Amino acid sequence: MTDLFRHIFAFDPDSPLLFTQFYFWAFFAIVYAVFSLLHSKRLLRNTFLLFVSLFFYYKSSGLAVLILLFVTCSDYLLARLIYRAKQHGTRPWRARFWLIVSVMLDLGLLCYFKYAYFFTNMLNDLLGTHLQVFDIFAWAGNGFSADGRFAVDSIVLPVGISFYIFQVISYTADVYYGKIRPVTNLLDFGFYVSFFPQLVAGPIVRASEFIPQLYRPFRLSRRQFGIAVFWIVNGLIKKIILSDYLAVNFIDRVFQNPLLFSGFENLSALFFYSLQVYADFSGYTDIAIGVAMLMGFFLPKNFNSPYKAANPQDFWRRWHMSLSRWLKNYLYIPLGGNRNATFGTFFWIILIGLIALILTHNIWAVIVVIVIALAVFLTAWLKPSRRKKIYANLNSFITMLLGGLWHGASWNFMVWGGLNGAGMIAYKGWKDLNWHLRMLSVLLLTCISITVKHFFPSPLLNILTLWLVILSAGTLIRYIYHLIGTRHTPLTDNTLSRHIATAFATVWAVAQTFTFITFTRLFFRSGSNLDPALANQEAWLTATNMVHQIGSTWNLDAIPHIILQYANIYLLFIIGMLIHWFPDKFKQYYRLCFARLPLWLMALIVVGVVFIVYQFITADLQSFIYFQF
Amino acid sequence: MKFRPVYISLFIFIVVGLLAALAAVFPKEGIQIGDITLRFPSLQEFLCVNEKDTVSDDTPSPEELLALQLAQMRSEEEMPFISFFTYSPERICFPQTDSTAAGMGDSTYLDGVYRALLQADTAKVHIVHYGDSQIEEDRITLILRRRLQERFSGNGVGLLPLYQSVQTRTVGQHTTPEPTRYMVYGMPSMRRQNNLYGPMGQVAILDTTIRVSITPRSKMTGLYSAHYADLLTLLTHSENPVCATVQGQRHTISPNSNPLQFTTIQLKDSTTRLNLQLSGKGDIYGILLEGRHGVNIDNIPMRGCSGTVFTGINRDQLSTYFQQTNTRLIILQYGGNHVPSLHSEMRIQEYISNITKQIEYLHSLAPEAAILFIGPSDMSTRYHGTMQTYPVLPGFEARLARAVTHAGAAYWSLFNAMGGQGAMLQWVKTGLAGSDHIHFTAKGAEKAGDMLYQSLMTGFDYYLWRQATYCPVDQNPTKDQ
Repeated sequence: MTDLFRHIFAFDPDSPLLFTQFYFWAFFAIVYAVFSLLHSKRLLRNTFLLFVSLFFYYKSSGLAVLILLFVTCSDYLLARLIYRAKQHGTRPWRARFWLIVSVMLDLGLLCYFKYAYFFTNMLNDLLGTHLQVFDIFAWAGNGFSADGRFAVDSIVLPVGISFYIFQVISYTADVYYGKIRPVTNLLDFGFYVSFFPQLVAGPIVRASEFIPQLYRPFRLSRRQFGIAVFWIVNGLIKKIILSDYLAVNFIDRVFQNPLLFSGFENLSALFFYSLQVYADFSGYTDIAIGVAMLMGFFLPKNFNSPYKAANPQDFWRRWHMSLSRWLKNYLYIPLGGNRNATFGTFFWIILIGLIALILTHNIWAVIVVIVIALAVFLTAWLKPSRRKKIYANLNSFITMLLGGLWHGASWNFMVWGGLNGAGMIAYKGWKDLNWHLRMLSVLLLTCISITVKHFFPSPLLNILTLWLVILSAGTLIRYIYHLIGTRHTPLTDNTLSRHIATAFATVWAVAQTFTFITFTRLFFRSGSNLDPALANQEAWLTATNMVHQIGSTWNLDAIPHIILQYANIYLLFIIGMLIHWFPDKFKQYYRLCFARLPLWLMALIVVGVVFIVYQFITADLQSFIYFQF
Repeated sequence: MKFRPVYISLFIFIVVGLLAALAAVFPKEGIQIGDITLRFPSLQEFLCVNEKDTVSDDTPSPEELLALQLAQMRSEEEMPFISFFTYSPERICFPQTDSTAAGMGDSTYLDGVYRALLQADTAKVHIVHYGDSQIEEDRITLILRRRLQERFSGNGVGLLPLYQSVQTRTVGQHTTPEPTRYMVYGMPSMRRQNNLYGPMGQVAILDTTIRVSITPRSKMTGLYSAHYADLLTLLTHSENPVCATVQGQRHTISPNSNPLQFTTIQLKDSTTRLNLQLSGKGDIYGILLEGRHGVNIDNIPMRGCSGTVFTGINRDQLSTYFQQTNTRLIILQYGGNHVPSLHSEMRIQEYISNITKQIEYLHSLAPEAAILFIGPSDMSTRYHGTMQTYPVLPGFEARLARAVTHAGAAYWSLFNAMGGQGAMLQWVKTGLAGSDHIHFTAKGAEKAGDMLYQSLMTGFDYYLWRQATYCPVDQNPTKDQ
């Protein structure tokens, strides 16, 4: 009995409360039963949900709930101080001061948990010391002693800290910029920060979007209820079938030991990972959106079929939209956005240079960063007509790099962020070129790559050259079509040919973007979030080994056997991608059809889906198959 | 139309109720439809979260157990050694002979290896580590090599194939163009007409100019010594002259009737990239990188192999290699690839007798070397919806150990060292093994390598203790067992 009680109420790091567990849904059924009794009493409802959320977080992260409470209280008070200082109007510096205090406190906490290993390594490198990280929260939990229940020699990242820290920063910043008034009731604010469906994995909700909902009475139509159930079911399918099954039976194995697998399997794993990471993240947020909706709260959409994106810029408008919006509003625009460069731009360039220096232990890294930055500024200074564009590119590149560093202070995340930034800039540059120049530049790059590959053969250059050759072929087709189209007007007037050309251009652009994004993830999947030394080593080895396998000679005879042996995995990937690429209108249509179903049928479908999902959870593991290469 | 929360709550409870009803009536063993078994948890399983999937953390890990026992041994007399080599799950099981009492076996079996290790500061001592994919990328071997070279001196990374299809964690190797290769293991299409596969079980055919570059990975990972070798030895067989250019210096290998010809070249600088160019016609069996003296260990992984292929390799080639390199220990690490297909008693028996034959064959080729067989690790699969050890594995592993020790070789149970049945789940959980529940991660391989080294060194401590206790005068015997 005591064990059961402990199992239900005590924190167990090995079994956090997740949407994919039966325990969560039993918990939610009880919470909802109470909610249905309280829903009309606004204050009681919000207070109840606040405590439920805190319990949910405690079950997921243990005593880290105290950090959540601290952040809630501090930002509640600081936002009020900011607002009061703004109201006075005579001392605007005071509002700014409180804003800085708030941001420093929040980022300080985030940095402590996320970058403690990085800073410790940095100090050890600079001073030749052998310092170890020290968890002061565990130390406090042990009654200010290094011995006790909690280990003080390692720092565990509290679940969802990045999300709620970003959320409270957006709140104080919005109060400072006068976009919202501060919340008057601490319980309401606590509810906004800790609302359990979005606490662990987002979406990052802006105060101006969510806080007004706290004061509205519960309202949910029959159709909205159906949609909410759809999101939950959809999320479960994505998370368990498309993400977990693919990961356990194929992707994890390849990423853990790339050299055990052939080039074709490595390439497949890389593409499957793109689907897995999307299905995992968006599946979780779909469930969050559905659960919140059942309680009458509407969370913003976080993913908009990202692999339909036709260019990297478009991709980031569709992927983790709440984070992209946050980065745009609270980083890109304050940096100067597409208008100019500010102190922030220079500050971050120097800081990024220093981080590069620390990570590489090589002075040349910082020199390269500074020289590139100087060259960019010089170009901007000499060409005023292009200045705005250059600054916009610089600011978006810095934003992407910092977005990478937000995931962890190690090279792999920095390279990932940098590649995405470079991709966005390259696309903007490409867009500005006319067709002749596009063709010329692609051909030139291909020739250079072929020449370099000839003299310095390597798997990486093999991949790059192949990609450039494909890119050249596609560009050539479009170039020829463009030339014929402009000379022979009848062809352009032909609706069918125009449709074919548009479809080809779209498929081509989507395929290129998907491939580019997939390859950047070579650096995203590997490594740890905490220890940069370990992350660097793991990421480097995984990435180089995968590149080696993909870029080396393939045993083409083995490919049909591989596909046959892993038929269920390949089939699942194809089905997943096809559903992903369904037109939005069609998706909307079947969503609405589901929402309109009679309740008894809907309940049966939910039971059926749970049954199917369980088959995937308990399915026999895909046996290990060797393919010599 | 507003939908009242009480209806939603009712809906949730109806769904939960339906699932509970399904759980109550669904057969525990599932419903078989063709090859697929449909499963659904019972009500009890719903309430007990993953009870079967977890392994208790309270028991000390094999490493902790080993450390405890080592500490105990060093402080006491022989009894702890006997106790270790009789009961400890991490022990090396010595060969069982008629003259030895049941339990510990012939504890002097590895004395020849230990004697050679003591002389390693002036002479070469070679160890060959054959295995399946569990040792690919130089995993496990590299830890053993590093520890032994640190303790007994020596450098070099051992034998490398001309074309490395699986890069190792020790050296980066790039060969261009890719040569035609034949292997004694793997797909039947990889076999050649004769049995000249060399000590690695694979041969590359030289019929044009082939360039090889080998780079130590010390800078990249910070793990390995920058000096990876002093001597480069080419293992060839050719009826035509072969021209080898090493670091710009040209050497001609004359035709020779020896099935395995050794050509040793001294390296001037072993800290930088090694460039080798080969031209002519012939068989290339490997590139041996080693020091002038000290310990060196080959890592020879054979993907998908169960270790039953040695009798398919030319006897003269193998014996020449073992003799020329002064091989004192042959480690065979196999068995895992066979586990999923062990569906009948006949297959188990067949495999065990095949392994016995291999041991006898290797003993006859390298009479001065000891053989240490490492059995399969724990491996898990999903059985009735729950991850657990392959049901056949514990029994198979115990029989394999018995057969190996009775065939006159030593046996190290990786299965027991990991923690026995169910250990793989814990290893996966702690990042020591991959999600296929078969292969170790780099961290896991390091742990396995460390445990193997510790077990070998416990034997070494016992050897020293016996030398000091029973024959204090003969401190440096030269005659092997």
